[in-house]
Amino acid sequence: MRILVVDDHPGFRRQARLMLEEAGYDVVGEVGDGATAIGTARELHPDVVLLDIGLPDHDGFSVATVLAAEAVPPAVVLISGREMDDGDARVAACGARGFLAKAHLSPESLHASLEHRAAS
Amino acid sequence: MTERRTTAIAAGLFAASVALAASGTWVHLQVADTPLPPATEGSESPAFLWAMLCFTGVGAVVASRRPANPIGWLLLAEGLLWQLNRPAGDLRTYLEVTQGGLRGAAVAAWVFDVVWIAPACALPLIFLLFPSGRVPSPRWRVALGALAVGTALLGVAIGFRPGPFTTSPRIDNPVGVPALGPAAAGLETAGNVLVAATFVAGLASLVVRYRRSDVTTRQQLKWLALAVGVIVAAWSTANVLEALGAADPKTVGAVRTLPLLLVPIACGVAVLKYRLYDIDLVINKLFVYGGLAGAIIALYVAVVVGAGAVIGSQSEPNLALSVAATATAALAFDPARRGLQRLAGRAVYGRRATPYEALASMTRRVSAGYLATDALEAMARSIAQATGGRGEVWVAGADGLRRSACWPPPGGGVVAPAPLRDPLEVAGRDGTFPVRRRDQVLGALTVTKARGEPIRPAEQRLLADLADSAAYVLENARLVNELRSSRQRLVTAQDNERRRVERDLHDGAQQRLLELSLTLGRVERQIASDRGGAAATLAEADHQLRQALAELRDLARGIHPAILTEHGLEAAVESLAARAPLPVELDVAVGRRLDPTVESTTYFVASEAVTNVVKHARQARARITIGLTADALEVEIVDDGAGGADPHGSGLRGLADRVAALDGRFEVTSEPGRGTRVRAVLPCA
Repeated sequence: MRILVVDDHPGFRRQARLMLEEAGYDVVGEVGDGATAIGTARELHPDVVLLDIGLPDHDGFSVATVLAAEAVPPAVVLISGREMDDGDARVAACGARGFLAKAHLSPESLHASLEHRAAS
Repeated sequence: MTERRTTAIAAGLFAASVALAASGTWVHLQVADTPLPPATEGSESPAFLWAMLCFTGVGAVVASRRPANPIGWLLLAEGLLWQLNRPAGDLRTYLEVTQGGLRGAAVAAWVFDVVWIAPACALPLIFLLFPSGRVPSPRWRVALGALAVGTALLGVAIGFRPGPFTTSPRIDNPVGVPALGPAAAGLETAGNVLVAATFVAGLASLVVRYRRSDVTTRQQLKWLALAVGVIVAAWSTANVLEALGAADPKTVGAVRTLPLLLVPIACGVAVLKYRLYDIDLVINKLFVYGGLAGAIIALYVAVVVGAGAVIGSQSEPNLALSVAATATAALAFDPARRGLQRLAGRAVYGRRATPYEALASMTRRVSAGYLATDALEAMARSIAQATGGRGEVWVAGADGLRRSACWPPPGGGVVAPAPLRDPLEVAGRDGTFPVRRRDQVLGALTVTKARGEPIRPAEQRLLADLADSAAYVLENARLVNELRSSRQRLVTAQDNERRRVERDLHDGAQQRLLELSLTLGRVERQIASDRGGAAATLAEADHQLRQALAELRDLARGIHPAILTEHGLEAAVESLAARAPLPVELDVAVGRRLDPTVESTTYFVASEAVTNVVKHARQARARITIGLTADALEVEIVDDGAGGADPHGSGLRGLADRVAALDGRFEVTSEPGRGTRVRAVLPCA
């Protein structure tokens, strides 16, 4: 599964990439802002975009909305260092697959999030 | 109704008024040589008809400008109805004598005999409704009802009275109702009583309205009051002339009717232009010069006639007496004028306070006022009451003088924002009294009097005294304002600081800990299969943990450095200098622990100043000097950087507020290209 990691903290991006690659995912790119994320997604067509909500230029919800409107939309999983409810209406409204708190991010939780929404 | 349509109707009615005056004049000329039958009343001179254009002209203007206000329409009706009624006498004579047509003459006679009721009854209505177009309060509607009933009774009693007309005894009323005969006189009396009562009520309503009104309405009412005063005086004069037989009936009639024209003029000016004409001055001058003329005539008559009678030279003019009277009048002129001016001032502006009263009442009001704005308004009021003019209080701010209080309050009682003025410009004007403390202009008191009324020397002295006493009030107002804004800035600075800490935590330590969490997750998965990899990842985790701790320590130091609490100011400033990315020279001699607030404020002054140097001039060098005097701690940070720092920027402003909160002094000297010097002196025991 091909993944694009979007987060403005390089240290966190690096750890997320290593964690996902060690779990067998193919991390095709990592970027630090919303505009580059949209461009990179259009170029690389990842299956999954791991998308931070608090980006310096746009918020993750608006980036997710743009990605959801693509011809072949990637599955977007929003992440944030702040606490948020997975059932938050904004998550569903922007077309994202799910939400994960950064502290709970793991290959297993990502898998579960993707499966859960896909099933429902 | 659109404005254009209203204007067209008003203009049409005025044109009708001109036509009525012209036709009335024509009819008058036709019957000028016709002798009137006995006991028959004729029309007066057409001059009256043309004079009525005053009512209709002003009425038309007012009605088109203020169509919702009935006053304009009432004035129009007043003029038109008189113009319809008065020439009807001539028309009756013309039709009766020249044309021999009694039928038409009867209609004209009816108009002449009856129609005057309407304009006569409209006059009290104008008084009741002036100037707003509404009665002063709902209970005054009783007067409107009484006026309507009185007018109706008069209309029925006179309009349908059977038999010959009072003004045309040879013609019978064509619409007379015989059954009304005996009751007509009673109805007429009742109607007259009701209308007379409403006339009195109308005058009373003007008084009541005046007492309840704001400044603007009072100005409007004063115009009508002036008109009513002249009318009453003219009517009294006419009665005296009539009783003495000193003038022919036409002159008496003119003295009675001409002043009526002041009513439309007064109404028009009051409603449309009350701010343009200085009514106070008009009344004032009328009072002064009328009174002066009367006094001189009385004096002259007293000296010439009185003294002449005593010395027995009444029959022929006595030159010596005339000279004596003239000299006395000349000598008395100026004191009399000043006395009358004072009286007129009181009549128009109310009683003025004596200097002592003004000072005492200002002190009382100022100390009773809780807020600084109350005290300023109290001062403006004292000025107004002491001088009869408009009092204003100006307070000096960073960018000039701002009008902070005004009495009487303009319009709706709110002080309109006035432009800032240069203190020197204000100080140079007449009627302006700068408020100073030592050499500093704290503000100014200004007084604006009616045009033509000078500020008297006694008032000059009083205002100068008021300005002296005002210094502490203005200083107080300035300090209160300063305190209020510095308190606001402290709260804002605190909020900003909290937001900054939250952001720093989120972007700093929290991110490191999240990385650490992912890294430890990796270790957990590696440990079974790849022990070597796990050890390397653990080393990474250890590095992240140390980084998180360092960032937390930095953050904590920004909030309050632990070294300051534990080891005091000298150690904390040494640590600050050691961590700074530029050379910082130290000259710190405190030697003992001080009040924690003084220590932390001093530390943050030094820390913010060094941060600013780092931000704007990385190549610069700085020197921190801290020393104790007998009762204060002095801290000074000097650098050789770019200079040009903005002392009103949030960082330096925040420091100034912090220092001010401890009653300290804070100075920034920062000329472009010559480095920056930040200095604070904090009182400490």
